[in-house]
Amino acid sequence: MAIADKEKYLKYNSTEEFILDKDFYTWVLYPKEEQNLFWNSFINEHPGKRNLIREAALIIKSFQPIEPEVPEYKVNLILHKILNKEKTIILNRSRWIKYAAGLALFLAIGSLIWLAVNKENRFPIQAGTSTGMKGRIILANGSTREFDTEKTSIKQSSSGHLTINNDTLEFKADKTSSAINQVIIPYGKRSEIMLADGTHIWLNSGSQLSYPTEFKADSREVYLSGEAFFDVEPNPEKPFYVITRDVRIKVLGTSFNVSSYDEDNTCQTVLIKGRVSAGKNQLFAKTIDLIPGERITYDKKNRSITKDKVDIKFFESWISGYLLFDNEPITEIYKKLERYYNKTIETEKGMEKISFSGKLDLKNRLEDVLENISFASAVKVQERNGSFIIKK
Amino acid sequence: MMNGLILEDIELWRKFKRGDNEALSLIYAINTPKLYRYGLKLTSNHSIVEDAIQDLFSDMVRNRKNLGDTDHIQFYLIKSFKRRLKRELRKEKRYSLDFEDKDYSFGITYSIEQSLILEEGSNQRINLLRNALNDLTPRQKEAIYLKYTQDLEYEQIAEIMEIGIEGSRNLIYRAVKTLKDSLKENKSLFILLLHKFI
Repeated sequence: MAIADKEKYLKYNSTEEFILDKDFYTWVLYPKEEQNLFWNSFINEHPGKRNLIREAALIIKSFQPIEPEVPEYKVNLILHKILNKEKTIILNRSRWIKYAAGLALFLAIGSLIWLAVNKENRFPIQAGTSTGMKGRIILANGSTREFDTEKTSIKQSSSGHLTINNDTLEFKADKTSSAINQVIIPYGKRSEIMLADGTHIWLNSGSQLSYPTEFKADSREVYLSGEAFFDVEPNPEKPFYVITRDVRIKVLGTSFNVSSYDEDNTCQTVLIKGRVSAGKNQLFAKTIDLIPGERITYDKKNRSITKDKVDIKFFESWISGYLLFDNEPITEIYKKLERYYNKTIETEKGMEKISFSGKLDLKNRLEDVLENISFASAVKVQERNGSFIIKK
Repeated sequence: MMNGLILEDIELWRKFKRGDNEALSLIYAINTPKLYRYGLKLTSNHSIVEDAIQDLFSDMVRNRKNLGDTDHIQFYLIKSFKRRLKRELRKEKRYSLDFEDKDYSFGITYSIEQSLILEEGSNQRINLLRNALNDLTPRQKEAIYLKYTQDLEYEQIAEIMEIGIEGSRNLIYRAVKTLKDSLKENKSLFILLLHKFI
């Protein structure tokens, strides 16, 4: 900022003047590095203005409203109506060129909206349902089955039969395509799911997967919260979609790992083999193609997607019962272990900088696994009332 | 702010007028949440807000060739959105958007309610500021919202609220002063208390 600005602000002798100054309130609401520098040095040079500035900033911040959630599906639905209306109006004018253009627009945007509307109506995964001790499946007809095996095998057949471990259930399949089964696996448990199309899914601890009892004619869509490894049966006519809250992954026969826990700051997709494309789970989102060994990461904070290369063995190891790490911050490892063993692991501040490389065998007791990390990373473990505290 | 990054408003608007549907989608996606939130402060009736948004964009699409230019799409949309909303609400008769009407209200919840800004000041200061905020008149609340949350200028606020430019300046200035004075009262109160106890 220029010297002129400094002179202007030196003349301000009231809180009001600062509050009404556009550059000032823009800085308070959307601070940028350059302005931070300006204001820090201004306050240091002119400590007499400090209280005015602090008071002005407090008042400006207090204006900020708690905004109501705008339902995305409604926003999409309205656009859908707007475009439909345009179509009929153009029809009335009976100008066929315009009609063709309108229809093309309707088809292009309309199909996206249709998907988005469906997604929002049916996104069947509610936060917080992964707590509790038992795994369960909520069937399309509304009934619930519970199971408390460590590792549950679920098989969905095309005839509507459902086999949980060795127990086969038979129920009248709802013929509507919106009939959805929801599998909920609590922390400390895991599940292996075979879908009717031959797709194989390993669902990790604290995760939920929803899938229709019968796939639609043109696509196969499943919804995921948490982490899962997918081995998708190829079918070019019926692409397979994994939809998470933030990211939508299109699959053309392949295996890959998706990690999208609500409590994590990122949603990651790693491709092991085959081909997928992924993009934000929203209207008009661009998609990014992945080749094997690539990962895309969606950052929830700044809502950006990045792509990088990774070593796939670190991402497929958990389905075989062990975890591999290469220079991973131990705090991230503890998060994974908390979910896998359903135990609380607390860490002291500043431990994000400590990292661990190596293999952890998940068949071992948590105590032993933690001891393994402590040895390599020189941290101390304490057990207290069934939870663990990690100290430097 | 976002518009500027992607395309200048004036150019985006022209594209839309020429029939560019990507431009329409972009304008819609950027602005609809803002309109929706503003609408919900003028009425709690979601379907009226949604109808007004639909009407606004339908008319825009239908008349795209005859629309004038604008260098501030958000302002243009908010202005015509509010006009429509007002008309709809009048039809409903249960609500009123006229400032003169004693039922006029601006339904806003401030983040201070959740103490999101506790980094600053004592609880007592926060309490006084919160009370003063909630005691602002509906028109003051609306003007403050348009300036500090929707980031509009005095002239634009004046047009949206159908008052003069001086009127919009005064509205905001008085609100700001009330809030500042609420904190000053606290200081004297504090000193008063101090004297009593020492």
